[in-house]
Amino acid sequence: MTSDLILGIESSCDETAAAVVADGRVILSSVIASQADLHSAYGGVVPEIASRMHVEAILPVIDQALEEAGKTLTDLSAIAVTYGPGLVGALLVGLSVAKGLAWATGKPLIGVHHIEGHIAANYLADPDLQPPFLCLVVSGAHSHLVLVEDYGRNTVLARTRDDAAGEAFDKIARAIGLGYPGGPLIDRTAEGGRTDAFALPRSRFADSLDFSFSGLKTAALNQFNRFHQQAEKAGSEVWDVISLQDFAATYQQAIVDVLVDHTFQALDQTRLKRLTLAGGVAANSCLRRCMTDRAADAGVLLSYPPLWLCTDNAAMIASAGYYAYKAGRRDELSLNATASLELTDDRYADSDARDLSI
Amino acid sequence: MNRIAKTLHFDAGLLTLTSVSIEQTIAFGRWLANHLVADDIVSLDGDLGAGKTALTRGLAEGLGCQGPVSSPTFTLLIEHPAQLGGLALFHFDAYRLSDSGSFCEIGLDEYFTQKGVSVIEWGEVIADILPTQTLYILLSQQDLNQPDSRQIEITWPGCPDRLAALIQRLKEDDSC
Repeated sequence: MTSDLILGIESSCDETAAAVVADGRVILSSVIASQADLHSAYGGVVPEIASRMHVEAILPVIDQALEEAGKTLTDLSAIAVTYGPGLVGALLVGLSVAKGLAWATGKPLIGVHHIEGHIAANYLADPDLQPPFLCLVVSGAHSHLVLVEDYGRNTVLARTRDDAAGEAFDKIARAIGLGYPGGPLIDRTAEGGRTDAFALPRSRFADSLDFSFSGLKTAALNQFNRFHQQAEKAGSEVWDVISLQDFAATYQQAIVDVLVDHTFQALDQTRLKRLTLAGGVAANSCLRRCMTDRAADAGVLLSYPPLWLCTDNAAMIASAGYYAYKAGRRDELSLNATASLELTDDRYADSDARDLSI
Repeated sequence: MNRIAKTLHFDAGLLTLTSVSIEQTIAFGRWLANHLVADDIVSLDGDLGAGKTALTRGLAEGLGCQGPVSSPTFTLLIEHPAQLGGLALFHFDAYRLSDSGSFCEIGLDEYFTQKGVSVIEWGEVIADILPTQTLYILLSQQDLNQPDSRQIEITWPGCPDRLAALIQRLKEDDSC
């Protein structure tokens, strides 16, 4: 049986990436040109550099992905590309190249939602994973609880009403002088620290599982400023009043508590016993540990991708693109990049993706 | 009722309000939206957690935009399309940008003339390219012991007449 090879292309934020994936599950190659080192010098993404870097990197990255996979464009079944959400200028680089390749080769073009890609990273990590399952997607830009009813059929059960979880990590990390990227730095700093060194609120809404991290962020900042005042009065430094380790651990625990609680409430409501994680914050060691413990108690099967599949990559786009391809979805060459694309329900409602055999 | 004008102070082109809660800050944004027109620009500044996104949520509600208003820190821009008879809201965040050069390089300044209201969190980062009609709002926490209270300072240097009209409406309007 010949397999379906999908070329995935991703350029929605910092990374320019291309990958070749067989049958949505087997990674033949995954190439990422990252600008993270460049950005950390500036404390964040520098978009003018980002767009220019995407343009410079995209063709070599695609060439390398095909070469490492030992394939040519003619071997492909389709070309999948992220078309939103993200920075339009950055998205357009990948999308334009994907359109050009689709037009030149006559291969189908398939637009993929970036979050659907993150979720699909789980198909690459766990060959046995099949919908339905619940996925917590947490990154710098997203905090979503998604019910994956079927391949390509997603319902957003909860989202953040203000800041994303990763943003909450990054902003406080910068405010307390840890630097960028905040998530990994807080994770490392918090190791072994007290998780209840001071009180922090866990916001929730009466009628919804939506997240809110803005109040938590503000409360942590207020607390930090209070420690500062105390230190000034005592003529000492802020980290003499509370250790940096305890501060980071307490803050991290509050974010993780909210993520874990809402996730398990959603599992209760949906009666699902299968959970996955996705996005850069899914690499957080405290989140993984707490989710693992809670899943064991609740009899829930939990899996998550390795770190290199949690952050932006093109293999996840190729995987999601494969299931869209099998469901018969094809996009026109007029497909446009959409900055605030919604993860729509029943996107492939016309085709019965349930019959997929892979 | 979430009244905004608990205290109202006007001095030399600076309008100062006090909000005692995040709900009041949102209510102020909702009220302010009624006094904005196409291509208006609002620059929002203030420390982390000062209420910039909350105020923007009020503006979006006041403009009739639908859907959640979340922080655009990572995406730099979140567009809220216009609803029937309303204006679009372009919600920017310059937190991660180094300067206005980065902002313009990717064409974000082109939104300023797209017949919507542009709101820019951390607008001071791109202060040098903000058009003359920009309304400036600075949010700050005055007292650590009143964690929910915020001072809202408004200046509109390019439009003194509109600021005067805004103050007049604020005095008359009891419902905001």
